[in-house]
Amino acid sequence: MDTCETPVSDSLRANEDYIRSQLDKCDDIVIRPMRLGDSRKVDCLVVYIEVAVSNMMLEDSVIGKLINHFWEIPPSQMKEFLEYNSLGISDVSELPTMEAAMSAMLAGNAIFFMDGFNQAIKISSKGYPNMGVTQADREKVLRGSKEGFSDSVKTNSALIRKRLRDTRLKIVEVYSGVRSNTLMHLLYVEDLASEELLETIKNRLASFEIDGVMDSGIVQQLSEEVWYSPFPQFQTTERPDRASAELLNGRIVLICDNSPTALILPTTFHNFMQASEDRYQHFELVSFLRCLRYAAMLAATLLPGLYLAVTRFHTQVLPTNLLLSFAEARQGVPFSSIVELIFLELSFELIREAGVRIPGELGNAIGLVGGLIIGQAAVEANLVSPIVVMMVALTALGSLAIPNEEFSAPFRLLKYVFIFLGGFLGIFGILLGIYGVINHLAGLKSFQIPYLMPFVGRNLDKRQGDGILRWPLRFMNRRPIFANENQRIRLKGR
Amino acid sequence: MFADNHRISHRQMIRQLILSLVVPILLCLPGTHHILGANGLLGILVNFIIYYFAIILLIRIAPAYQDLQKTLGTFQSRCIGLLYLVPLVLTGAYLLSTAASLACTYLISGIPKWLASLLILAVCATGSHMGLEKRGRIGEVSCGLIIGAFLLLYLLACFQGNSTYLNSPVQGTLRWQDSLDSIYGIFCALSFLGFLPFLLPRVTKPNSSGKMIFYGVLFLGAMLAIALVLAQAVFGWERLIREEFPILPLMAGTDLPGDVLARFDVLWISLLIYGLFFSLGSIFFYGSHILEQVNFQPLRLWILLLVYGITLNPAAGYPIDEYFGWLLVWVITPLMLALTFYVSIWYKSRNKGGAIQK
Repeated sequence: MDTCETPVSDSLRANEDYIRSQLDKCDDIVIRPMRLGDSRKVDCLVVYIEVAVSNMMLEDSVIGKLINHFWEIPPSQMKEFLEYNSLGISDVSELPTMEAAMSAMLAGNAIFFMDGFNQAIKISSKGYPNMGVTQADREKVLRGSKEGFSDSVKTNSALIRKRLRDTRLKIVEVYSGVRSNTLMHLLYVEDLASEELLETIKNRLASFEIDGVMDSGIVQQLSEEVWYSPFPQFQTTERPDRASAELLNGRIVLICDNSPTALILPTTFHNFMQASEDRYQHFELVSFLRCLRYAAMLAATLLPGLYLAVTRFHTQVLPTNLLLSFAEARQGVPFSSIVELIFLELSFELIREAGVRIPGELGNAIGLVGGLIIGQAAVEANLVSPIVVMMVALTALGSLAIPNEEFSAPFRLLKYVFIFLGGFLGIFGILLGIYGVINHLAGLKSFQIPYLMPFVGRNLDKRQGDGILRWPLRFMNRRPIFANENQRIRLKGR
Repeated sequence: MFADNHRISHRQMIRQLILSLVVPILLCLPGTHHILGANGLLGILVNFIIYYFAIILLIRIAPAYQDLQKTLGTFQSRCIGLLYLVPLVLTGAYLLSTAASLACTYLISGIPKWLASLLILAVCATGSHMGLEKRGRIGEVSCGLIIGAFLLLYLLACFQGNSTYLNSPVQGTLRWQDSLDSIYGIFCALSFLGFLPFLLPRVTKPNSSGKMIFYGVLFLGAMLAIALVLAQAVFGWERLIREEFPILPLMAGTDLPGDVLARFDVLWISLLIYGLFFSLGSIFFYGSHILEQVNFQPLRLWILLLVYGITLNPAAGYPIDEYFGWLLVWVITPLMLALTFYVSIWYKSRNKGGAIQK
């Protein structure tokens, strides 16, 4: 026990004084004194957050059963009863300090004190209200489970446990946030995940102290090795099936309370280009779709810049007919092609941002209205040329085809860099940009794993069959590099 | 378990080596520098033999370069380190000048060479001090694309060649002077393999890397040999001997089928310049690495400034492009040979019974 912590006293009065001083003006917290025992002579106290704990008087609630039982037994047996958990309540634990008791109460449990007993009893209850299990809106799939993570860390861990019913799946509780005291679960499969990696992650989580962790995004940003990189070094998912599959790959999942987004680590560039359903579909289709996604990624980043580079500096590469149609389309447009393109790209970003913020179905409507009507109107008003509308639309489609929205963000930003490079320096600028990006990506690592795996380090990650082209599932018998060396075989007998 | 051991694999090493050398060799060796036709092919063959033995020597002396200060002492190691920087700075200036000239001529006419050089320098130097692993990864990612593009170029150029051009009587004659020039020219171009001992201590299983390095040399030689044959088949001997960089017109005349684009030269030139970026990045990396070994890290910036300064300031009215050939033949290669032999002799004499390792 920490020396500066306050032990739970034998005297209920002392405990109550402590609690009342700590919870002064916390009107949402109920401090309920009561006298229990068959002769009603033992002073007890229950402390709980009103909305987080079931009605005490209900017989079917844990705390209700406990109190009802205490009315029937003599005071001499009550202490023994508590010590041995004679009611067989599933989640009851003794807490030796007042700080631990307060923390448990703030986590949504009821805390029970009894005069003459120097331990606080934590009794689990329904906990804080949350949304429950919903669909994963950000990662829609055609095939596979529709379940998504909820806001409650325990529910989320249970959704993974439901899929991996193995005692080797370990769930470690970690708290972060000095004031929010946010509960996080670190999930890993004992024999698959690397011990060294687990320690690194724990150290990384312990390396910062912040007042509040409201979402896993805060943990992610504070734990990333290269903080200035726009490329995410943690993968995120809202899907329990995805998280479970990654656990089987030897990766570690971090779930944060109040956040439906789990973090998967370590991660690589290629992981972001894989969709959840890639494992559920035939290899031919998946391979084709992955090629398409990579092409989409290139289009999302390079297409506007290349368009500018070619039309402003290297018109000789275009066939004459195409060049003429480009020129014809631009007739009457008062702006330079760079201004035109940036104007339309920013308009699209605006529509996208508005669509996200506008509630419900209106968001979709805004997308349609913005895309179709504003684009058409801008062309008719000669503000932009139709070819630029097409470029922007293709770029937008490209960025939406990247399976992970968070991963598409750096490409959205890089697109503007390439617009400037292509617009002012032509293909030379694009070349400088490409070299710069590859240079940056080659230096990135996520928990010691090179970000460009499996395109680099093939000697370490051979025969996995899960690159841009995916092998038939029956030949994908090896786990990726994340898994322990002696546990690389995942499939036998085919 | 993971790759975080500050070492690179043979695969990364070989790709890095090929990508660093392939573009300068293909771009700068053929042409008016006597490395053409049968003499050029003979030069390539002879150099295979020379470098087979040179690689064995370089691998044997690699431990001496693991910690130069330990091998040579502080003063000597600093002198040797600074001397090793001379070829790097001069070659860096030449490559920077070539890349900027190509960019200004073929990709972006209208911007001054100083600006193009500055931009290239900034991009190539960024992160060049961040370890061999990073360079290995850039090499691994880029090598396939660049080499694949060159092979595609060769394939497409095959259809434009004329076999009668290969039977030119002038080309068929082996002349002693030209042959010796070719042999020594190719030897000089590959003399940058003299920096390998700096790399080898950071390669997994360095003692078994000789075969891979030799394969790399074979591959580079084969690429050059194909370029020599194709260039002659496409242009004929009379035109070829007048071209400064025959690979450029070869690229200009090679189109992809399908009529997607009217011309593909921009694409090929871009790949060429990308390769030069990597070569330049390697120059800065080795400069940085050598300075780190001899504890002269603050001089890193000076390397960049020197490279940039030499690129832009002609010596006695001559830009670096014009006298680099002479420098390579008479200064850089002899200096590299001298330094390698000096370190090797010193290491052998001091390391009797493994004294330095202990």
